[in-house]
Amino acid sequence: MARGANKSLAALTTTEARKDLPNLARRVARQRKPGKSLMEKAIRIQPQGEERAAFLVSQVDLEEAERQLAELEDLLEDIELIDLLEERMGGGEGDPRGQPLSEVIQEFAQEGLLSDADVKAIEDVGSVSSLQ
Amino acid sequence: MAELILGEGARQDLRELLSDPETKPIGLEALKQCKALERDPYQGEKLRYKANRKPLAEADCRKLKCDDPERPPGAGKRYRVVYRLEPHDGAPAEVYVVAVSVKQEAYGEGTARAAARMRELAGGRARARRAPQDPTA
Repeated sequence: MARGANKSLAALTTTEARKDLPNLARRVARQRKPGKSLMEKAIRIQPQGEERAAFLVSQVDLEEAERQLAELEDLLEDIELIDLLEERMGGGEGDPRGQPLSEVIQEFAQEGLLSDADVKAIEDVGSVSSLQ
Repeated sequence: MAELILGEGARQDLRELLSDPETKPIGLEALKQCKALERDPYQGEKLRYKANRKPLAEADCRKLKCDDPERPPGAGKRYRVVYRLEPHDGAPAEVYVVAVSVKQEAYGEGTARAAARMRELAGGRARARRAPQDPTA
């Protein structure tokens, strides 16, 4: 059994890893459940003379890490957006200079920021037929 | 059907997006999303974190993904239409769009700031738990 990262994160040399690569890759690829961390079940490969190592990580671990990262990113984004809401609304008192959407569209069209086709495309979204 | 109001900040965001040919499709998409919100104000995902300030904490604040429809998924910056519903229960009479904001990526400056804020909040709660209780209370 090749040394992996399961417990001690013991490293394989590149020579050891090269010799056993098909088995190592198969073993990692067959992992069904993600570990408790990205590195828990990873196999560490330590090139000679290098300070840092390379890791062979399973797809399930990578996907789980991506999922958790996206979730955290989403939560942190919410915090950031609440800060933005507070900043722009002055603690919720509202913005007295709010303007209805239809007026804003007309204003943008007059300023040349929206073409007639753009305005129509926006208006079409609100029509009943576009929602059916 | 709810009335959709755009705040000054949101109008400025949109003006900037529409002024640049590179980001104009995003601005246009955001306006289409706003139009759709008039019919379905609950489309957006509810923000999970609530500030301590009472008016905002009571408000129904939401975000709606808004990306360039022509770009492949994951390419370019991602945007959000940020809005609040008023009143916060029952049929909303008004959708108030506060911002069309670029989504912060993980490890970005904004995310790091938010993470620091989260740590502060967690620290505050822990301190409150540790504080001795007033026997006269």
